[in-house]
Amino acid sequence: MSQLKHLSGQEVEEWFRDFAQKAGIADKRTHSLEEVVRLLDDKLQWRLSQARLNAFQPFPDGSEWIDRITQGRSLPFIPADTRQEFVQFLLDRVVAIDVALKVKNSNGIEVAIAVDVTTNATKEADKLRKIRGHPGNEEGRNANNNRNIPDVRTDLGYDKHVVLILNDDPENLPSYEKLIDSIYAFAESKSRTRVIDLKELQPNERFNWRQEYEADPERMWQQYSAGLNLRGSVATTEEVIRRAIQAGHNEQAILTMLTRDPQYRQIVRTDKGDSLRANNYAATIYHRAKPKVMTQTQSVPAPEEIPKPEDWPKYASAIGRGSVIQARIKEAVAAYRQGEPLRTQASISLGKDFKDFQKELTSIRAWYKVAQQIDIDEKVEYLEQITKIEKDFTQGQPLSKEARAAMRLDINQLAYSQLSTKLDQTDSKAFLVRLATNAAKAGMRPSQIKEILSLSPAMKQIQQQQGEKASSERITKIIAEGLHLKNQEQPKQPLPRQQRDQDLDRGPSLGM
Amino acid sequence: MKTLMIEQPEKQTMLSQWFCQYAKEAGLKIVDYPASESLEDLGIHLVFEHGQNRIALSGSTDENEVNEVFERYQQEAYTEIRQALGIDYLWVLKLTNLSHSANDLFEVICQFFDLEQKPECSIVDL
Repeated sequence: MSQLKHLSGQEVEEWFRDFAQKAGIADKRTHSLEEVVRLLDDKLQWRLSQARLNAFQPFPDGSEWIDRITQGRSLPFIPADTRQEFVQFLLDRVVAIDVALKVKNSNGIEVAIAVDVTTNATKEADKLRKIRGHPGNEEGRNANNNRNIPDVRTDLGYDKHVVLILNDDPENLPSYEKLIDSIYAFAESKSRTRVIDLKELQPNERFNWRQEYEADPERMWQQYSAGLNLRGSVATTEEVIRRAIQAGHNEQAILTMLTRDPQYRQIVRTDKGDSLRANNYAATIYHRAKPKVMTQTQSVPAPEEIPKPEDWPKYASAIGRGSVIQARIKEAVAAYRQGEPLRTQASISLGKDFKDFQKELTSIRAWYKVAQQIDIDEKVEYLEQITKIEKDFTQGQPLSKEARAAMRLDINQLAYSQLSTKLDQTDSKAFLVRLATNAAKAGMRPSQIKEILSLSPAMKQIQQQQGEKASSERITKIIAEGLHLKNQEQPKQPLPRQQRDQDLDRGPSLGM
Repeated sequence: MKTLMIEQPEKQTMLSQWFCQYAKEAGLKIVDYPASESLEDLGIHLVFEHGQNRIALSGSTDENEVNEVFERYQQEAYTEIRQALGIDYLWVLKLTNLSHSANDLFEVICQFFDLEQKPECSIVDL
């Protein structure tokens, strides 16, 4: 970290890279130096030629390497780390990719996201224009040197590209929770490019916000007692404790906060400055309140809806996390078992893994119910198999490809039969459009609607006679009509716009 | 007229340090000048080489200072001194903050060298 009060651009990038690693969402793929240089030479030659002249530090031979590759000559020995660092340098300068992420969206599909990290909010429009392939300087000889940036991004395997604006003030960086929420929201969205501006943050959206609060017990007390009748004594103290526990503070921090409780202070005053009885009071109320909070939390959702750190290896294994991550999880859990609290980022990852685990478990249970309703041979054996799959899954065994395919087919089969009941099937096209409309109204995603439609006899016939491509195109048109009809019959509610998805074309601002 | 260096020595020292650090992060090939060639008197923090070109950098986070530096050093007398030192261009950087990424300057380079007519002295909005 710099001695100055702000972080340098490079330090902010490193902070974000570190976050991506710790959150387990860093894209671990690497690109070969030769492939990258050839791709850039083919599609972004002007930008590569400028980067070639700009690579002096820390790659004094960088321009020579580029020349050798573009001229088809062999490279001298370059250590693997240096190669990757140089690839990173080229992607940063030429394609505006500082960090690469890979996350799964709610459909279970992996989305690779390229991130351009910046603290320079005044240039957000220019940066967005650039990653969208719009010209940076219309007066230039090469009116648009950026045109092929979207192509190159796709060729490198990235689905989306985001300009992430962060503060350069280390006290005002976003919390990991805030970052993860923003990234997953982008992964879910239809936008390929976006600006995510995380400069303006609420106090509880800041990095290390819990530690900040805990460093200031008075502020913490004010925060969690806000709106309470402070004459309520024990009941008030319990409510403040409940709020603090739910916000994730630990026992020590809460007990320190309670030294600001008027009840605590009154006892100290009565005891002429001796805080022993007041400390006992605080600890007693805390230990009385905590089980109630846990019971309240458990009484709303099912008991298994609370992640258990000790079961994290099972969750991670069941949802198919990689062996390296699983090894790290085991280390974290071993430390947890020995009394060490989970770190913030580990808690976030646990919550996320648990959520994915719950989602799959819910799907398996829904599958069982579906299988009970569909017409299949040897139903008892089939249901027993699903029960075994569920049991294995809860012990950490991931779903096999075959099981997943059977589950989807059964669920879609039942959905098809339910959605098509009572529909007039005389005109097959009108029938399919109506089926798509009703499926969309039921909240199904286009990918699932496509699978359901493909189960119809009409579509099966088209597929057999005209092939997969013709059938797929037909289904896409039907879904489009269905969605259009759904929007007409059930207009969308406007949603609050929390993130900017800009399409600004203000033109370049070289400022010369 | 006093130079900015004399008016605000601490700020200038901080800026000079920042320019050195930024040049390193941005991968620039810095040109060494003998101590006798006082770049500070020319309002220059550093000079870097980009291909066959030598570019001098000056700048500030204060827009008024940027304009003032530009007005002063765009005068012909200074241009001649720069040419004598082999400097092709002077960029007076308008800095948003002191945490620009390397990419910010790279974009300027890409756009500047793409211009048909390149001004010898210009304000650059980094």
